[in-house]
Amino acid sequence: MIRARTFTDARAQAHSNAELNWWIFMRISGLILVFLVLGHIYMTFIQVSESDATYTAVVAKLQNPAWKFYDWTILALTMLHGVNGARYSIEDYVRSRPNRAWVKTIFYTISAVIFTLGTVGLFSI
Amino acid sequence: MYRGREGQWAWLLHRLSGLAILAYFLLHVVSISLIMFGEDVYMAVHHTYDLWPFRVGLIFVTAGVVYHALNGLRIMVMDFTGRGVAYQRQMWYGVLGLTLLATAYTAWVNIPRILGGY
Amino acid sequence: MAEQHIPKNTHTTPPMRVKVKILRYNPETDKKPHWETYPVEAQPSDRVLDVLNYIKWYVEPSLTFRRSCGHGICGSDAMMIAGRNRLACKALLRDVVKDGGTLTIEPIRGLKVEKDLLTDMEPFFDAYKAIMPYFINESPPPAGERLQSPEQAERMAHSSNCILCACCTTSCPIFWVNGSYLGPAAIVQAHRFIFDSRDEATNQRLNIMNQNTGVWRCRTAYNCTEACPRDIPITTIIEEVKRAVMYQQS
Repeated sequence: MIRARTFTDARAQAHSNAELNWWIFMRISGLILVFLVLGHIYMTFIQVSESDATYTAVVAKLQNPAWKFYDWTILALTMLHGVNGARYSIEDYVRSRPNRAWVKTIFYTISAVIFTLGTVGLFSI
Repeated sequence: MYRGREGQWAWLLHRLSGLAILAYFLLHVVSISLIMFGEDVYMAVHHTYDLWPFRVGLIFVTAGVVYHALNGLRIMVMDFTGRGVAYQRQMWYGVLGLTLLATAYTAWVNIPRILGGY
Repeated sequence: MAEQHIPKNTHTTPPMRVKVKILRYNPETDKKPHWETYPVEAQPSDRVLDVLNYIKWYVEPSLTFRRSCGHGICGSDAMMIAGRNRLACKALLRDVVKDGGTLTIEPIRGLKVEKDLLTDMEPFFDAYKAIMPYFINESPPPAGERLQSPEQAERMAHSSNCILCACCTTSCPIFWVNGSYLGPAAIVQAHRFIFDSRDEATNQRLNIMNQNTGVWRCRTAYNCTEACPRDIPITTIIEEVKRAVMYQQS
């Protein structure tokens, strides 16, 4: 085993199932999202025109709690799936450790804010 | 450029489409969540999205999502079945073909709408 | 005196004229690597290694590259030939370049270039050492040998073919950019011991594979499998290790 010289190395070598669990999560959430997202695109971009998504139409549709649940499931799963996928890319391409920590922190913060915004928006109407 | 074969391009497209979808998704959530600030704010942004460059862009987003979804299924077949790896090349051509078909259909449905201003 | 056997077609095959374009770098004089082209006349059945030797011996003595056995066993002369990782001693000229064409030769990627086609292999062998590449069995050996059934031997037949040439690891798009990924070669070596019925350190090695730097960094780009000069089904092997880690932890 390569001996750890820094805390980050030690953490990378510590016994943890984090990467395994994310790997499984990516596949399960991906499988669910295939149906949810393709369904969402079909219903909002093929069946009806994009310009039909007016304020009145969206509010009327979201009166039904089933659509709220459908949309929030997409929101939550895509958020986790996408942010984790971006984390893979950041860990691959941003090689300097201080930079990587900053990029990750800023990216996670933006994502968390947008997730909160989306959730509040969805349940405020 | 390393002259890799199908697998390398499948991986690269999967990563690029994933990042592109994430970028679009974050924007989409922000613009839809404007609904909580009332009709005026929401509709102002919505009218911008009705412009043709955005709607042509949406066709590309659809293509990216379909590719990412189908290639994701290809990856699952490879990861969870022993035999999937042997057919990865054929599966990738299947993924590309289906993506092309779905994109063509989306364009066929949407281009008349864009031209007709509907 | 016995009649000497001379292969008939040696002198009848017309020679090829190719331009050999090599990415050269001398750390003492150059800031950046640069391309240099050498016109060469050679037989289509010559190996790329023969061409490099010709250039080094008769044209440009300062050209630096590794080679040892010259027969695809030692794994010293991995380089990027015509855009793909190959062993210079196993690539025939006619398979990588047309008559009158240009043959590009670059050092393998993702490792520091020391000079010309010579790279620092230390990080590659660090990853190899990290998977504990030695047989571990604490139980007392039986009177004879530790026997395996043919099926058990078959299980590790492919992964034990590895010659550690680094063709796979340095063709991996993740290894190029992610300095901490162990890489396909190390995983193939781990597979060789994990699926060895006589070895007892399976769990330890699976734990190493389960780390952040291990098997989960593989994104199945298949460059390793295409590059392997020993035809090891590397991606299949990595997927087997992934599933083994998953079953071990569940």
